[in-house]
Amino acid sequence: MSFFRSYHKGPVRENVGEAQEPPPHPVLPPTQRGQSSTPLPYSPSPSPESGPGGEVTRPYISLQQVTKVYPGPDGGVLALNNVSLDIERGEFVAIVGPSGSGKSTLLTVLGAMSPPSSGRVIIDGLDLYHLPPEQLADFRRQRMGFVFQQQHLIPYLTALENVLLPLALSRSDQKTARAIDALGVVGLEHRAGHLPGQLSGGEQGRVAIARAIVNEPLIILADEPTGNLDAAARESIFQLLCSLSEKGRTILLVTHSAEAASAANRRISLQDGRVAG
Amino acid sequence: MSKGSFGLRDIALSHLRRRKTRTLILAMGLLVGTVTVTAVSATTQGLKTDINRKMDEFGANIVITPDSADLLLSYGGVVVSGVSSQVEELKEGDAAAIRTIRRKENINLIAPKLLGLADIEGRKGTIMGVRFPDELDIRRWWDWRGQPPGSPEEALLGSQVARALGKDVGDSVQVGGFPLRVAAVLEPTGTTDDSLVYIDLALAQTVLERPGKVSLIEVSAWCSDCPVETIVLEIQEKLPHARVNAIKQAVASKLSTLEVVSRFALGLSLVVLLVGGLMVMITMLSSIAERTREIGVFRAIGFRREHIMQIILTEAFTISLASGVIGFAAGTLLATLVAGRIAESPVPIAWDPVLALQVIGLALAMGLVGGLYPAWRAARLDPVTALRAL
Repeated sequence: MSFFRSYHKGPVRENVGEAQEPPPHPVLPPTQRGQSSTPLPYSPSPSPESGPGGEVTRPYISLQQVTKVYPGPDGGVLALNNVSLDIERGEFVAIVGPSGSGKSTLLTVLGAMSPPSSGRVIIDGLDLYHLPPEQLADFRRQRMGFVFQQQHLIPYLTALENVLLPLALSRSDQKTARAIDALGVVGLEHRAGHLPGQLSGGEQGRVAIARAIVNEPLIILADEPTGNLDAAARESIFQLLCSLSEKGRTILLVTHSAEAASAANRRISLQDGRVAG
Repeated sequence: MSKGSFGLRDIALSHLRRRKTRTLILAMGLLVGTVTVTAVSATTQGLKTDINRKMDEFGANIVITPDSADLLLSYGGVVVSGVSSQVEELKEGDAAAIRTIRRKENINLIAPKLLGLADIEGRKGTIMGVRFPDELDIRRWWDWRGQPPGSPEEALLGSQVARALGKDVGDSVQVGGFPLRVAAVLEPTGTTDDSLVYIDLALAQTVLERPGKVSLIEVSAWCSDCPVETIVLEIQEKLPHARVNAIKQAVASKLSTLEVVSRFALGLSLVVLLVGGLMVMITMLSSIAERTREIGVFRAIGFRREHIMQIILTEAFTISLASGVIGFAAGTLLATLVAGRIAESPVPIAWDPVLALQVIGLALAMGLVGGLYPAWRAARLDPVTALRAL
């Protein structure tokens, strides 16, 4: 397995909800190799439309009138307000907006971790939150890679073992080879045996990315992955994300940083839980 | 971790290996439990053997009398057949025959006695012919002034007789025309013993003109490995002309003492067990609380609830197993140190494989039951909430 190392320089698209050019041919089939869990059930996507050539097209990710309310006093907190979005396969989308605008909530709803209060989330034709919780977990493991704001590496596992985590349930006998390969992509094979406490912040961020890509997910969700890093570390992580996007991965990046947003080829702005442009 | 085999078990074991302090704290609860249960059980078992032996040695537990309906004399609650009847009497050789039974190694002491009326200082009194070394050994509760009789010319007086005759240690006393020296006087026992004059068995046979005869034989047998009834039967086979009886009172009192010891050990073990189980649960719950964010990561990455439970329970299982093995070894060693001091004599403590299995099984049960609720709590954590923890 090898990943791109080139930096993405494609056009930046502002706005949402429009049909987009089909992405490059996906690298992976929808279901992952070497997974032990049962395949996810396929639920027909809502009313696919016919394209000009007669072929069926549908958005890869579709949010339909998604609202998310966190329970609390005075009716709770409205984090997402009737958000509708379409994202195509292979898009590198930056989600921007001020604090409290609903960026992280949008990411967790898209990431199959937090069901919306109303509305639907459809990914690759699958109505996500109609799946039982355990199949949602399988979906995350098989199709998604997460890069968290504070990396969230497991402190008692080495860099290699942290990268191996998404493969822990796989029966593949190539797990370690794949994890070393993923560490190679982020340039950290030589740090495989180190614990997170022995790595710099930038190295921890790169291990977190290696963990997110080791399962060859089709969607990578990153929440402020460069928040605490210096310029060089940020640059290397943006490069990684861009190269993954060019490989056909769909990337959703939550960020405050204009620099980060400029690395994406599409920008979605959120304001008070609504798409602002 | 071997190549290509990283799984949930590796996550659990890495946590235990690299978080040594936390692992040790978790193991402490179980170790306290397993060491205590092992030490108490092994000590109790050792003490039971010791008590059993000591109680068997403390007085007779079998008495042999002639088989006769002719009841003339009783001694210490034991009815002794009459002197004048025609029934077949017991002989001194019968005492020796007891040593030939199958379980002869269970026979501790044999004390034959001859009881009869004789002239003491011109009055009629009851004399008892005994073999002094055996008699003094079997009546360990006796207390006396003077020195135990060492020759056939010496006698031992019951306290009441001594007072009635006005004799004390060193005085001379005429028994059946034989002048004997009073070697010792018994302190009052509150039993028939107080009114007897104890003399050498052979001399008593001469005085009573019953050479080679005995009235009864008391036997002290060790019965820890077999019921006393078995030994009674075996003696009965050897002495068909005699009546062989177990002294039920001695057996019952022994059983009741051992019962108390066992109940105490069981009660103590149950309390320790309860405390150990609670300690495991509290420690694991606090560990889960500290690991909330980590569990959130596992869930976000796509681990199912059952996988989280599997990790936590694998940790509990591993710690319990190790604590069970270490606790058994340490507990047995502790018992060897402690039991001897409690008993004030060497108490054999065995490496008991049954106890080992029980203790390890107990540790596993405690660890898994104690870990079940925390594991369930951890598995129920919502990934988003867990990731936002701290």
